[in-house]
Amino acid sequence: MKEKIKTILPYVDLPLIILALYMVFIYAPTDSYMGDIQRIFYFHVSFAWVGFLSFFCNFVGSIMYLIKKERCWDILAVSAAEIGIAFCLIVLTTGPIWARPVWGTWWTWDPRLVTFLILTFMYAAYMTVRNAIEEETKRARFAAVIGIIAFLNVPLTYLASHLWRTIHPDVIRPGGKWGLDPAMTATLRIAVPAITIFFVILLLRRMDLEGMRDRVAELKKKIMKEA
Amino acid sequence: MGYYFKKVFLIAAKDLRIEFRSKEKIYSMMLFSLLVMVIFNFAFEPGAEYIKDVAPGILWVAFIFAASLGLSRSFVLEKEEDCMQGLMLSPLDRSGIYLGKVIGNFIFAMVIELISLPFFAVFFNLSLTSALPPLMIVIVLATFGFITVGTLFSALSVGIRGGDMILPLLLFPMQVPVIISAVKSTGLIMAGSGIDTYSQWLKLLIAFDIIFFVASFVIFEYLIEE
Amino acid sequence: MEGGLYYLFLAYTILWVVNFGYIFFLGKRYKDVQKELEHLEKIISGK
Repeated sequence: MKEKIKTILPYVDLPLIILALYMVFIYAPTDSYMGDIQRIFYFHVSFAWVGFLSFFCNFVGSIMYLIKKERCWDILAVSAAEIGIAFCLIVLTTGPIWARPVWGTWWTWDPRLVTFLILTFMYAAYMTVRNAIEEETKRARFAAVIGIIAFLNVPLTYLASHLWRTIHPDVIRPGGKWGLDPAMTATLRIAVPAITIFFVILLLRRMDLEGMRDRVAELKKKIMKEA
Repeated sequence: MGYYFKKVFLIAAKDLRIEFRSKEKIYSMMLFSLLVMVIFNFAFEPGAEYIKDVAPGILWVAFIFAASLGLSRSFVLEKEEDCMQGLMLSPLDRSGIYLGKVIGNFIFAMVIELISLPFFAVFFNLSLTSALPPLMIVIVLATFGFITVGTLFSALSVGIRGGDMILPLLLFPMQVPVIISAVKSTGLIMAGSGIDTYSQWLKLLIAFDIIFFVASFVIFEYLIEE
Repeated sequence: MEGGLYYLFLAYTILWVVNFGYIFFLGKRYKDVQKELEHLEKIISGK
Protein backbone atom coordinates (compact mmCIF):
# COMPACT_ATOMS: atom_id res chain seq x y z
CA MET A 1 0.00 0.00 0.00
CA LYS A 2 2.67 2.43 1.09
CA GLU A 3 4.87 1.49 -1.86
CA LYS A 4 1.92 1.95 -4.20
CA ILE A 5 1.29 5.48 -2.96
CA LYS A 6 4.96 6.25 -3.33
CA THR A 7 4.95 5.25 -7.01
CA ILE A 8 1.61 6.88 -7.80
CA LEU A 9 2.28 10.26 -6.17
CA PRO A 10 4.77 11.61 -8.75
CA TYR A 11 2.32 10.80 -11.55
CA VAL A 12 -0.40 12.70 -9.72
CA ASP A 13 1.82 15.63 -8.92
CA LEU A 14 3.48 16.19 -12.29
CA PRO A 15 0.27 17.16 -14.15
CA LEU A 16 -0.72 19.23 -11.15
CA ILE A 17 2.54 21.19 -11.24
CA ILE A 18 2.22 21.67 -15.00
CA LEU A 19 -1.35 22.89 -14.54
CA ALA A 20 -0.18 25.23 -11.77
CA LEU A 21 2.57 26.61 -14.04
CA TYR A 22 0.06 27.12 -16.85
CA MET A 23 -2.27 28.98 -14.52
CA VAL A 24 0.52 31.07 -13.05
CA PHE A 25 1.88 32.23 -16.41
CA ILE A 26 -1.13 32.23 -18.70
CA TYR A 27 -4.45 31.89 -16.88
CA ALA A 28 -3.91 34.32 -13.98
CA PRO A 29 -4.36 38.00 -14.94
CA THR A 30 -1.41 40.37 -14.74
CA ASP A 31 -1.48 42.37 -11.54
CA SER A 32 -2.46 45.96 -12.35
CA TYR A 33 -0.11 47.48 -9.79
CA MET A 34 2.86 45.14 -9.63
CA GLY A 35 2.81 43.76 -13.17
CA ASP A 36 4.27 40.43 -14.20
CA ILE A 37 6.56 40.20 -11.22
CA GLN A 38 3.52 39.36 -9.10
CA ARG A 39 3.53 35.90 -10.76
CA ILE A 40 6.27 34.84 -8.33
CA PHE A 41 3.71 35.16 -5.57
CA TYR A 42 1.95 31.82 -6.20
CA PHE A 43 4.99 29.62 -5.90
CA HIS A 44 6.60 31.81 -3.27
CA VAL A 45 3.56 31.40 -1.02
CA SER A 46 3.33 27.67 -1.73
CA PHE A 47 6.94 27.09 -0.78
CA ALA A 48 6.62 29.26 2.30
CA TRP A 49 3.62 27.26 3.46
CA VAL A 50 5.32 23.93 2.79
CA GLY A 51 8.53 25.12 4.44
CA PHE A 52 6.53 25.91 7.52
CA LEU A 53 4.72 22.58 7.26
CA SER A 54 8.01 20.71 7.15
CA PHE A 55 9.20 22.38 10.36
CA PHE A 56 5.90 21.44 11.92
CA CYS A 57 6.57 17.82 10.89
CA ASN A 58 9.98 18.17 12.53
CA PHE A 59 8.29 19.43 15.70
CA VAL A 60 5.85 16.51 15.78
CA GLY A 61 8.64 14.02 15.07
CA SER A 62 10.75 15.54 17.85
CA ILE A 63 8.01 15.34 20.48
CA MET A 64 7.05 11.82 19.48
CA TYR A 65 10.66 10.73 19.60
CA LEU A 66 11.10 11.94 23.16
CA ILE A 67 7.92 10.14 24.20
CA LYS A 68 8.27 6.88 22.27
CA LYS A 69 12.04 6.66 21.67
CA GLU A 70 11.41 5.05 18.29
CA ARG A 71 13.87 5.62 15.48
CA CYS A 72 11.12 6.24 12.90
CA TRP A 73 10.17 9.55 14.55
CA ASP A 74 13.76 10.71 14.41
CA ILE A 75 13.83 9.79 10.74
CA LEU A 76 10.74 11.92 10.16
CA ALA A 77 12.30 14.83 12.07
CA VAL A 78 15.61 14.87 10.23
CA SER A 79 14.02 14.39 6.80
CA ALA A 80 11.54 17.18 7.35
CA ALA A 81 14.20 19.56 8.66
CA GLU A 82 16.46 19.04 5.66
CA ILE A 83 13.71 19.61 3.11
CA GLY A 84 12.47 22.56 5.15
CA ILE A 85 15.86 24.25 4.86
CA ALA A 86 15.89 23.74 1.09
CA PHE A 87 12.41 25.24 0.79
CA CYS A 88 13.32 28.14 3.07
CA LEU A 89 16.21 28.94 0.74
CA ILE A 90 13.69 29.19 -2.10
CA VAL A 91 11.45 31.47 -0.04
CA LEU A 92 14.36 33.65 1.01
CA THR A 93 15.60 34.10 -2.58
CA THR A 94 12.30 34.55 -4.37
CA GLY A 95 11.13 37.02 -1.69
CA PRO A 96 13.91 39.59 -2.24
CA ILE A 97 13.74 39.15 -6.03
CA TRP A 98 10.08 40.14 -5.83
CA ALA A 99 10.79 42.96 -3.35
CA ARG A 100 13.47 44.53 -5.55
CA PRO A 101 11.21 45.82 -8.36
CA VAL A 102 8.12 46.29 -6.19
CA TRP A 103 9.55 47.88 -3.06
CA GLY A 104 12.80 49.09 -4.59
CA THR A 105 14.98 47.20 -2.16
CA TRP A 106 16.31 43.64 -1.95
CA TRP A 107 15.86 43.12 1.71
CA THR A 108 13.29 44.54 4.07
CA TRP A 109 12.88 43.65 7.72
CA ASP A 110 9.38 42.45 7.07
CA PRO A 111 8.16 40.19 9.92
CA ARG A 112 7.58 37.26 7.59
CA LEU A 113 11.01 37.63 6.05
CA VAL A 114 12.67 37.92 9.45
CA THR A 115 10.80 34.87 10.74
CA PHE A 116 11.87 32.75 7.77
CA LEU A 117 15.46 33.95 8.06
CA ILE A 118 15.62 33.08 11.76
CA LEU A 119 13.89 29.78 11.07
CA THR A 120 16.56 28.91 8.52
CA PHE A 121 19.32 29.80 10.98
CA MET A 122 17.77 27.67 13.71
CA TYR A 123 17.40 24.60 11.54
CA ALA A 124 20.86 25.06 10.08
CA ALA A 125 22.12 24.90 13.69
CA TYR A 126 19.90 21.84 14.18
CA MET A 127 21.64 20.08 11.29
CA THR A 128 25.06 21.16 12.59
CA VAL A 129 24.33 19.56 15.95
CA ARG A 130 23.20 16.36 14.27
CA ASN A 131 26.39 16.15 12.27
CA ALA A 132 28.51 16.66 15.39
CA ILE A 133 27.11 13.64 17.26
CA GLU A 134 28.13 10.10 16.34
CA GLU A 135 26.05 8.05 18.71
CA GLU A 136 22.61 7.42 17.28
CA THR A 137 20.27 7.66 20.28
CA LYS A 138 22.09 10.65 21.71
CA ARG A 139 21.90 12.43 18.36
CA ALA A 140 18.18 11.78 18.13
CA ARG A 141 17.57 12.96 21.68
CA PHE A 142 19.59 16.17 21.39
CA ALA A 143 18.10 16.97 17.99
CA ALA A 144 14.58 16.46 19.34
CA VAL A 145 15.24 18.94 22.15
CA ILE A 146 16.38 21.57 19.65
CA GLY A 147 13.51 20.82 17.28
CA ILE A 148 10.93 21.44 19.98
CA ILE A 149 12.50 24.62 21.35
CA ALA A 150 13.13 26.05 17.88
CA PHE A 151 9.54 25.56 16.76
CA LEU A 152 8.12 27.10 19.94
CA ASN A 153 10.15 30.18 19.12
CA VAL A 154 8.47 30.77 15.74
CA PRO A 155 5.34 32.64 16.96
CA LEU A 156 7.37 34.77 19.36
CA THR A 157 9.88 35.70 16.66
CA TYR A 158 7.05 36.64 14.33
CA LEU A 159 5.29 38.68 17.00
CA ALA A 160 8.47 40.48 18.05
CA SER A 161 9.49 41.39 14.50
CA HIS A 162 5.93 42.44 13.73
CA LEU A 163 5.73 44.84 16.69
CA TRP A 164 9.22 46.04 15.93
CA ARG A 165 8.32 46.96 12.37
CA THR A 166 5.10 48.76 13.18
CA ILE A 167 6.92 50.98 15.63
CA HIS A 168 9.92 51.43 13.37
CA PRO A 169 9.76 54.26 10.79
CA ASP A 170 8.16 52.73 7.76
CA VAL A 171 10.04 53.53 4.57
CA ILE A 172 8.34 50.87 2.56
CA ARG A 173 4.71 50.40 1.73
CA PRO A 174 3.58 47.05 3.04
CA GLY A 175 2.23 44.95 0.17
CA GLY A 176 -0.22 43.15 2.40
CA LYS A 177 -3.65 44.42 1.41
CA TRP A 178 -4.29 43.86 -2.22
CA GLY A 179 -7.55 42.29 -3.28
CA LEU A 180 -6.98 38.98 -4.99
CA ASP A 181 -8.73 38.41 -8.30
CA PRO A 182 -10.82 35.16 -8.33
CA ALA A 183 -8.53 33.76 -11.04
CA MET A 184 -5.56 34.52 -8.81
CA THR A 185 -7.16 32.71 -5.89
CA ALA A 186 -7.89 29.73 -8.14
CA THR A 187 -4.27 29.64 -9.25
CA LEU A 188 -3.09 29.68 -5.67
CA ARG A 189 -5.51 26.87 -4.86
CA ILE A 190 -3.80 24.68 -7.45
CA ALA A 191 -0.21 25.74 -6.70
CA VAL A 192 -0.38 25.04 -2.96
CA PRO A 193 -1.53 21.40 -3.20
CA ALA A 194 0.86 20.77 -6.09
CA ILE A 195 3.83 21.86 -3.97
CA THR A 196 2.47 20.13 -0.86
CA ILE A 197 2.37 16.79 -2.72
CA PHE A 198 5.83 17.55 -4.06
CA PHE A 199 6.95 17.92 -0.44
CA VAL A 200 5.36 14.60 0.54
CA ILE A 201 7.17 12.85 -2.32
CA LEU A 202 10.51 14.30 -1.26
CA LEU A 203 9.83 13.53 2.40
CA LEU A 204 9.03 9.86 1.74
CA ARG A 205 12.16 9.50 -0.39
CA ARG A 206 14.33 11.19 2.19
CA MET A 207 12.94 8.92 4.92
CA ASP A 208 13.70 5.88 2.74
CA LEU A 209 17.26 7.07 2.43
CA GLU A 210 17.60 7.29 6.20
CA GLY A 211 16.17 3.79 6.57
CA MET A 212 18.67 2.45 4.04
CA ARG A 213 21.50 4.08 5.93
CA ASP A 214 20.36 2.23 9.02
CA ARG A 215 20.48 -1.04 7.07
CA VAL A 216 24.03 -0.25 5.94
CA ALA A 217 25.15 0.46 9.50
CA GLU A 218 23.47 -2.74 10.67
CA LEU A 219 25.15 -4.88 8.02
CA LYS A 220 28.51 -3.28 8.72
CA LYS A 221 28.18 -4.17 12.37
CA LYS A 222 27.28 -7.73 11.46
CA ILE A 223 30.31 -8.08 9.20
CA MET A 224 32.59 -6.61 11.85
CA LYS A 225 31.30 -9.13 14.34
CA GLU A 226 31.89 -12.04 12.01
CA ALA A 227 35.37 -10.91 11.06
CA MET B 1 8.55 20.51 48.53
CA GLY B 2 10.72 22.60 50.82
CA TYR B 3 13.27 19.82 50.69
CA TYR B 4 13.31 19.99 46.89
CA PHE B 5 13.99 23.74 46.84
CA LYS B 6 16.67 23.40 49.48
CA LYS B 7 18.52 21.00 47.18
CA VAL B 8 17.97 23.29 44.21
CA PHE B 9 19.47 26.23 46.09
CA LEU B 10 22.39 24.05 47.15
CA ILE B 11 23.25 23.49 43.49
CA ALA B 12 22.93 27.19 42.68
CA ALA B 13 25.02 28.14 45.74
CA LYS B 14 27.68 25.59 44.85
CA ASP B 15 28.01 27.05 41.34
CA LEU B 16 28.13 30.62 42.56
CA ARG B 17 30.68 29.77 45.25
CA ILE B 18 32.98 28.14 42.71
CA GLU B 19 32.74 31.11 40.35
CA PHE B 20 33.19 33.81 42.96
CA ARG B 21 36.09 31.94 44.46
CA SER B 22 38.07 31.44 41.27
CA LYS B 23 37.01 34.84 39.86
CA GLU B 24 38.36 33.77 36.48
CA LYS B 25 34.91 33.72 34.86
CA ILE B 26 33.79 36.96 36.55
CA TYR B 27 36.80 38.87 35.27
CA SER B 28 36.61 37.56 31.74
CA MET B 29 32.87 38.21 31.43
CA MET B 30 33.22 41.70 32.91
CA LEU B 31 36.08 42.66 30.64
CA PHE B 32 34.32 41.17 27.67
CA SER B 33 31.16 43.16 28.30
CA LEU B 34 33.15 46.40 28.71
CA LEU B 35 35.19 45.68 25.59
CA VAL B 36 32.07 45.23 23.49
CA MET B 37 30.84 48.66 24.60
CA VAL B 38 34.20 50.26 23.85
CA ILE B 39 34.71 48.56 20.49
CA PHE B 40 31.22 49.48 19.31
CA ASN B 41 31.98 53.12 20.05
CA PHE B 42 34.59 53.10 17.31
CA ALA B 43 31.91 52.24 14.78
CA PHE B 44 30.32 55.65 15.30
CA GLU B 45 31.39 59.26 15.12
CA PRO B 46 32.71 60.40 18.50
CA GLY B 47 30.21 62.60 20.30
CA ALA B 48 27.53 62.20 17.63
CA GLU B 49 23.97 62.85 18.71
CA TYR B 50 22.58 59.60 17.24
CA ILE B 51 24.72 57.58 19.65
CA LYS B 52 21.79 57.79 22.07
CA ASP B 53 19.63 55.93 19.56
CA VAL B 54 22.04 53.05 19.16
CA ALA B 55 23.13 52.87 22.82
CA PRO B 56 20.39 50.40 23.91
CA GLY B 57 21.39 48.04 21.12
CA ILE B 58 25.03 48.18 22.16
CA LEU B 59 24.12 47.59 25.80
CA TRP B 60 22.19 44.44 24.95
CA VAL B 61 24.77 43.11 22.55
CA ALA B 62 27.31 43.50 25.36
CA PHE B 63 25.05 41.78 27.90
CA ILE B 64 24.09 38.92 25.67
CA PHE B 65 27.60 38.25 24.41
CA ALA B 66 28.95 38.28 27.95
CA ALA B 67 26.15 36.04 29.20
CA SER B 68 26.67 33.50 26.44
CA LEU B 69 30.38 33.47 27.26
CA GLY B 70 29.41 32.52 30.80
CA LEU B 71 26.81 30.00 29.69
CA SER B 72 29.31 28.13 27.56
CA ARG B 73 31.23 27.35 30.76
CA SER B 74 28.20 26.48 32.87
CA PHE B 75 28.41 22.71 32.47
CA VAL B 76 32.08 22.42 31.56
CA LEU B 77 33.26 21.96 35.15
CA GLU B 78 30.68 19.25 35.76
CA LYS B 79 31.89 17.47 32.69
CA GLU B 80 35.63 17.82 33.28
CA GLU B 81 35.53 16.52 36.84
CA ASP B 82 32.77 14.00 36.10
CA CYS B 83 30.51 15.75 38.57
CA MET B 84 27.47 15.23 36.38
CA GLN B 85 27.37 11.62 37.56
CA GLY B 86 27.39 12.82 41.15
CA LEU B 87 24.60 15.32 40.51
CA MET B 88 22.51 12.68 38.83
CA LEU B 89 23.05 10.27 41.70
CA SER B 90 21.89 12.87 44.23
CA PRO B 91 18.33 12.43 45.53
CA LEU B 92 16.98 15.19 43.33
CA ASP B 93 15.24 14.75 40.04
CA ARG B 94 16.82 16.13 36.92
CA SER B 95 14.52 19.08 36.64
CA GLY B 96 15.97 20.15 39.99
CA ILE B 97 19.46 20.19 38.51
CA TYR B 98 18.14 22.42 35.73
CA LEU B 99 16.43 24.74 38.19
CA GLY B 100 19.58 25.04 40.32
CA LYS B 101 21.68 25.78 37.26
CA VAL B 102 19.22 28.39 36.03
CA ILE B 103 19.23 30.19 39.37
CA GLY B 104 23.02 30.12 39.53
CA ASN B 105 23.45 31.36 35.96
CA PHE B 106 20.78 34.01 36.40
CA ILE B 107 22.33 35.51 39.54
CA PHE B 108 25.74 35.41 37.96
CA ALA B 109 24.58 37.16 34.77
CA MET B 110 22.71 39.77 36.82
CA VAL B 111 25.85 40.56 38.83
CA ILE B 112 27.86 41.08 35.64
CA GLU B 113 25.15 43.28 34.14
CA LEU B 114 24.75 45.43 37.23
CA ILE B 115 28.50 46.05 37.36
CA SER B 116 28.59 46.92 33.64
CA LEU B 117 25.63 49.30 33.79
CA PRO B 118 27.45 52.27 35.40
CA PHE B 119 30.27 51.93 32.86
CA PHE B 120 27.68 52.02 30.11
CA ALA B 121 26.22 55.24 31.53
CA VAL B 122 29.68 56.79 31.64
CA PHE B 123 30.80 55.69 28.17
CA PHE B 124 27.63 56.91 26.52
CA ASN B 125 27.20 59.95 28.72
CA LEU B 126 23.72 59.00 29.86
CA SER B 127 22.07 59.63 33.19
CA LEU B 128 20.24 56.49 34.13
CA THR B 129 19.15 57.28 37.69
CA SER B 130 15.55 58.21 36.89
CA ALA B 131 15.20 55.36 34.39
CA LEU B 132 16.68 52.77 36.71
CA PRO B 133 13.55 51.14 38.24
CA PRO B 134 11.80 50.32 34.93
CA LEU B 135 15.15 49.44 33.39
CA MET B 136 15.72 46.89 36.14
CA ILE B 137 12.44 45.17 35.27
CA VAL B 138 13.53 44.87 31.64
CA ILE B 139 16.97 43.60 32.62
CA VAL B 140 15.55 40.97 34.96
CA LEU B 141 12.95 39.73 32.45
CA ALA B 142 15.31 39.66 29.48
CA THR B 143 18.18 38.06 31.40
CA PHE B 144 15.88 35.37 32.76
CA GLY B 145 14.57 34.61 29.28
CA PHE B 146 18.09 34.40 27.95
CA ILE B 147 19.21 32.12 30.78
CA THR B 148 16.30 29.64 30.57
CA VAL B 149 17.06 28.59 27.00
CA GLY B 150 20.76 29.25 27.50
CA THR B 151 21.08 26.77 30.37
CA LEU B 152 19.29 24.07 28.38
CA PHE B 153 21.50 24.56 25.33
CA SER B 154 24.59 24.85 27.49
CA ALA B 155 23.88 21.38 28.92
CA LEU B 156 23.36 20.18 25.36
CA SER B 157 26.53 21.67 23.93
CA VAL B 158 28.93 20.14 26.49
CA GLY B 159 27.79 16.75 25.25
CA ILE B 160 28.91 17.40 21.67
CA ARG B 161 32.32 17.64 20.11
CA GLY B 162 33.01 21.25 19.20
CA GLY B 163 30.03 22.24 21.34
CA ASP B 164 31.44 25.61 22.36
CA MET B 165 31.43 26.60 18.68
CA ILE B 166 27.86 25.41 18.22
CA LEU B 167 26.34 27.04 21.32
CA PRO B 168 26.19 30.59 19.85
CA LEU B 169 24.68 29.21 16.63
CA LEU B 170 21.86 27.74 18.69
CA LEU B 171 21.50 30.59 21.13
CA PHE B 172 21.50 33.74 19.02
CA PRO B 173 18.65 32.91 16.65
CA MET B 174 16.65 31.69 19.64
CA GLN B 175 17.15 34.99 21.40
CA VAL B 176 15.80 37.22 18.65
CA PRO B 177 12.49 37.98 20.44
CA VAL B 178 14.34 38.75 23.68
CA ILE B 179 16.87 40.99 21.95
CA ILE B 180 14.24 42.95 20.02
CA SER B 181 12.02 43.45 23.09
CA ALA B 182 14.89 44.36 25.39
CA VAL B 183 16.45 46.85 22.97
CA LYS B 184 13.15 48.53 22.14
CA SER B 185 11.95 48.85 25.72
CA THR B 186 15.36 50.05 26.93
CA GLY B 187 15.32 52.71 24.24
CA LEU B 188 11.83 53.87 25.21
CA ILE B 189 12.70 53.92 28.90
CA MET B 190 15.86 55.95 28.30
CA ALA B 191 13.89 58.41 26.20
CA GLY B 192 11.62 58.92 29.21
CA SER B 193 8.45 57.42 27.71
CA GLY B 194 5.65 56.12 29.93
CA ILE B 195 4.99 52.46 30.67
CA ASP B 196 2.11 52.26 28.17
CA THR B 197 4.56 52.74 25.28
CA TYR B 198 6.65 49.71 26.15
CA SER B 199 4.19 47.51 28.07
CA GLN B 200 3.70 45.33 24.98
CA TRP B 201 7.42 44.56 24.98
CA LEU B 202 7.29 43.62 28.65
CA LYS B 203 4.36 41.31 27.90
CA LEU B 204 6.35 39.67 25.13
CA LEU B 205 9.31 39.17 27.46
CA ILE B 206 7.07 37.64 30.12
CA ALA B 207 5.52 35.31 27.53
CA PHE B 208 8.98 34.26 26.36
CA ASP B 209 10.13 33.66 29.94
CA ILE B 210 7.15 31.50 30.83
CA ILE B 211 7.08 29.46 27.61
CA PHE B 212 10.76 28.66 27.59
CA PHE B 213 11.11 28.16 31.31
CA VAL B 214 8.33 25.57 31.32
CA ALA B 215 9.48 23.92 28.08
CA SER B 216 13.13 23.72 29.15
CA PHE B 217 12.18 22.50 32.62
CA VAL B 218 10.22 19.61 31.10
CA ILE B 219 12.69 18.79 28.34
CA PHE B 220 15.89 18.96 30.40
CA GLU B 221 15.13 15.54 31.83
CA TYR B 222 15.43 13.95 28.40
CA LEU B 223 18.68 15.69 27.70
CA ILE B 224 20.87 14.15 30.37
CA GLU B 225 19.56 10.63 30.67
CA GLU B 226 22.66 8.52 30.34
CA MET C 1 7.08 47.72 -13.17
CA GLU C 2 10.33 48.22 -15.11
CA GLY C 3 12.16 44.96 -15.80
CA GLY C 4 9.46 42.90 -14.10
CA LEU C 5 9.90 40.01 -16.53
CA TYR C 6 13.61 39.89 -15.90
CA TYR C 7 13.08 39.48 -12.16
CA LEU C 8 10.30 36.97 -12.75
CA PHE C 9 12.63 34.90 -14.92
CA LEU C 10 15.38 35.15 -12.31
CA ALA C 11 13.08 34.03 -9.49
CA TYR C 12 11.74 31.00 -11.31
CA THR C 13 15.21 30.02 -12.47
CA ILE C 14 16.49 30.01 -8.91
CA LEU C 15 13.38 28.19 -7.72
CA TRP C 16 13.86 25.31 -10.13
CA VAL C 17 17.64 25.23 -9.76
CA VAL C 18 17.29 24.79 -6.00
CA ASN C 19 14.57 22.17 -6.41
CA PHE C 20 16.38 20.11 -9.03
CA GLY C 21 19.62 20.59 -7.14
CA TYR C 22 18.01 19.06 -4.08
CA ILE C 23 16.43 16.22 -6.04
CA PHE C 24 19.79 15.51 -7.67
CA PHE C 25 21.55 15.58 -4.30
CA LEU C 26 18.94 13.26 -2.83
CA GLY C 27 19.19 10.87 -5.79
CA LYS C 28 22.96 10.77 -5.59
CA ARG C 29 22.94 9.85 -1.92
CA TYR C 30 20.25 7.29 -2.64
CA LYS C 31 22.36 5.65 -5.30
CA ASP C 32 25.50 5.67 -3.16
CA VAL C 33 23.76 4.03 -0.23
CA GLN C 34 22.11 1.49 -2.51
CA LYS C 35 25.49 0.56 -3.97
CA GLU C 36 26.99 0.19 -0.52
CA LEU C 37 24.06 -1.90 0.59
CA GLU C 38 24.43 -4.28 -2.36
CA HIS C 39 28.15 -4.52 -1.73
CA LEU C 40 27.63 -5.40 1.93
CA GLU C 41 24.96 -7.94 1.13
CA LYS C 42 27.32 -9.63 -1.31
CA ILE C 43 29.99 -9.87 1.39
CA ILE C 44 27.55 -11.41 3.81
CA SER C 45 26.12 -13.96 1.40
CA GLY C 46 29.63 -14.83 0.21
CA LYS C 47 30.65 -15.94 3.65
